Amino acid sequence: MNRERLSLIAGLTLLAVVFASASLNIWKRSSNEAKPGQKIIRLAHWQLEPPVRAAFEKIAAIYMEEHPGVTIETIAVPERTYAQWFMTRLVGGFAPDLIEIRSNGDSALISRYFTPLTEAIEKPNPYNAGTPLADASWRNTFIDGLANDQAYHPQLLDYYAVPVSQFTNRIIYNQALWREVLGDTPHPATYAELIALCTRFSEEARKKGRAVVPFLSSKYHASGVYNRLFSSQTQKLTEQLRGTPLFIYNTVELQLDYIRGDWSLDTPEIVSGLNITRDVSTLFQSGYEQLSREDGGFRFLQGTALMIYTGSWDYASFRDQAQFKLGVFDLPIPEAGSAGFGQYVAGEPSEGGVATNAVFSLARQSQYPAEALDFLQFLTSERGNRLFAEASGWLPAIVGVKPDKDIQPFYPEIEGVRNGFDTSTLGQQNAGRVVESGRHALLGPNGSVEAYRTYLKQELGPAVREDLERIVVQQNKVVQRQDSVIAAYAQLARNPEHAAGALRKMRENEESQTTLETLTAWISLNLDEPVR
Amino acid sequence: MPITLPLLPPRMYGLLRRLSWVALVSAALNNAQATPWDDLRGGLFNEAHHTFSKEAEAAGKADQRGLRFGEAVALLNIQPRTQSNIDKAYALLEDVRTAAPGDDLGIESRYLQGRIEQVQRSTPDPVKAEAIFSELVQQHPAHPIGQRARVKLAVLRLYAKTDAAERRRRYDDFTSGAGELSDPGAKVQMHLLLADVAQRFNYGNEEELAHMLAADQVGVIKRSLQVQVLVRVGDLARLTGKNAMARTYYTRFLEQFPRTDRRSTIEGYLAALN
Repeated sequence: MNRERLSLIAGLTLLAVVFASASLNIWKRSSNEAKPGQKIIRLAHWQLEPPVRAAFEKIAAIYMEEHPGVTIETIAVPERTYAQWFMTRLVGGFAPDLIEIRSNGDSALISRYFTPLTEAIEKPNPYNAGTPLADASWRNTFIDGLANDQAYHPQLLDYYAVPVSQFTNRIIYNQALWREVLGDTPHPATYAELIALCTRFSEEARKKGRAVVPFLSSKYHASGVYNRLFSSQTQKLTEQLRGTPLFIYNTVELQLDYIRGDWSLDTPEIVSGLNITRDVSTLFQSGYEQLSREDGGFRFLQGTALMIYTGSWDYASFRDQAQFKLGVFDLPIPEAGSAGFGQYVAGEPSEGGVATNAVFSLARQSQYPAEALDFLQFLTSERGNRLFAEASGWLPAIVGVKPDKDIQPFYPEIEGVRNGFDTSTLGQQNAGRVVESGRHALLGPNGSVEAYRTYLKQELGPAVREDLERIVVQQNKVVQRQDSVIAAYAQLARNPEHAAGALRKMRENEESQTTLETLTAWISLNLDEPVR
Repeated sequence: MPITLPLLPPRMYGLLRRLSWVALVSAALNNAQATPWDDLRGGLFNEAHHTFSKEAEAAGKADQRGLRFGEAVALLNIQPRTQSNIDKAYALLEDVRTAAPGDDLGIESRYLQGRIEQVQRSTPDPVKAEAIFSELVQQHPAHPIGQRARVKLAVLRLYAKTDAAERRRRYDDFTSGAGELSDPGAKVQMHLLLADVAQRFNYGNEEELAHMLAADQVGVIKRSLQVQVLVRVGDLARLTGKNAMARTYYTRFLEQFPRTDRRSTIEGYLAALN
């Protein structure tokens, strides 16, 4: 048989297998739908990591066993095409019932296509009956009380999603390589110790003729390292700028303070933040900025590096794929009060602000909204979340659910000071792009803090002004929208049956609207001329 | 007489309880879009507008006023936003208002006309908005809408371009007028607004603290603002030497929001204050 003929047969066979597989898939779905009285709930997510995918399937199987008549189908869609995929489905009117959403940003999209969960959120989750959470509102069963913008829409002022996990970042290291090269050296407790450890590792590895690097990174993984270390340098700056360390900087406030001249590229803490960013980048392997997230993870799993700084979401799949044992510790920051970088540090940062995450929303077009909501409550009950956390290797989101002992080192550490801001606090629009796109001036063999500061001094001001002008326009749209919503609640409050609830929502919307209007007016005033 | 259930295995009780929950939730979810006002509060402006217009056309003249008001409210936000829709909304509100200027619907229509001039038009007219809100404040000082108009008037006047002395005079006027507000919603908004002004224009910690306290005493509804008020009152009281007050507010904050990255710092303050 010649080679051409063989290729043809192989190709046709492959085509036939794909066709048969697709047909089987369609047949399975159709046969489910054909079952009389069967209610099918579809849950879509982008978590392709095998343990997480399996965890959703496991919870679905348990639920179906206990709820004959309901079929839960989980649909895992690659992250890159997820947004387009679910938007097409929403617009086409055949969306899954439960959809993992990334951002609660677009209020028009959320209000049109998703069901507010506020009413259910304020009542106990029936699946917690018989547990210590039995009488708690569903909201208060989440470790952060859903005080986050993923679950609670800051403009629509309703809960539109519930989370199943929470995420933190840690250093994951190769235990075998650590022992081989570093012996029983303990984890570094300070940034200076980390630098010394990486230097020693490189020297020892060279002596042993091992082609391994101490700190593997990629464009994706490096940003987490930069943010953690930069924010250690601005811990005290917040108090200087706002008179209290308890103030929380958001993008608008930080940008406003920049155009008002309260901080600049000459502020010592900012200069130090850039210095530590450059300093830590010298620990990474050369060319790390060209590496993608997937490639970075892959190289670590190949055993070519001692450690990588990544999120708790990666841990379980790393553990399942690695041929070596993993260890975990937190990326150390400079010791408070020590010379150099330590002079700007107030202490170890608290992770009490870590929000619950990986949120699911209920589509308005669901044929069985009550059953879909019921499954969501099962998934986020004490029992459901425990089963999910065990199977997925993710951190739990529910009060009282203990994390698996492997993932325990990722559990948020509440003790500590409020952290400072970092360059990501400037947002992801023009200012964020300026910060990112010019970073090559800071990093690499030819980079320098001076060159980057010179670049930022030219580019950041105009970018921040453009961002603030855009924010004024966006916030005005929210304010305009709220006029109709507030008027609606005022009318609904005339019905004695709903008066109390409607009045409360009306007041909540009014408080939000006035706060937003005054902030918008304050931005506009400062854009004309900084007010002193 | 209590209702008794036949003896069932414990798991069946759980199942029954969950089934009854599903039935209740199902009813609530299916009932969620009962009226066009429900559509409006949920952001379905085009749907609400369609229903209001259709019902207004079908209704007798006597019943049309409330429907035309609803149509105007929906028109403000139907997509795409056009100037002609905003003008039409203004005209509908004018019809509703002139039919009975002194009733609730008439007053609210005038208020929305003020909002159209203040924020809804692509080119706002703050002078016209100020005139409308001033008129409402003067003619209906005790009405909740008149009091909401006073809040919007404060936004316009306190954030207008003016010299520092004039802004401070306006701030003092609104501060003394805030005590007259009886509507809790308007009162909270006014005090929060004045606290922000005191902070932004450097009128001092005592001024900001007084307004924050007044807002808290009436009761802030939005959770993120509750957090802000408790922490800010604690901070301002600590900075102005009101230790007992600082302790009270910091403690309330930690009780109500136990998981926070501010905990250790606040516990440090509490230890020092004690």
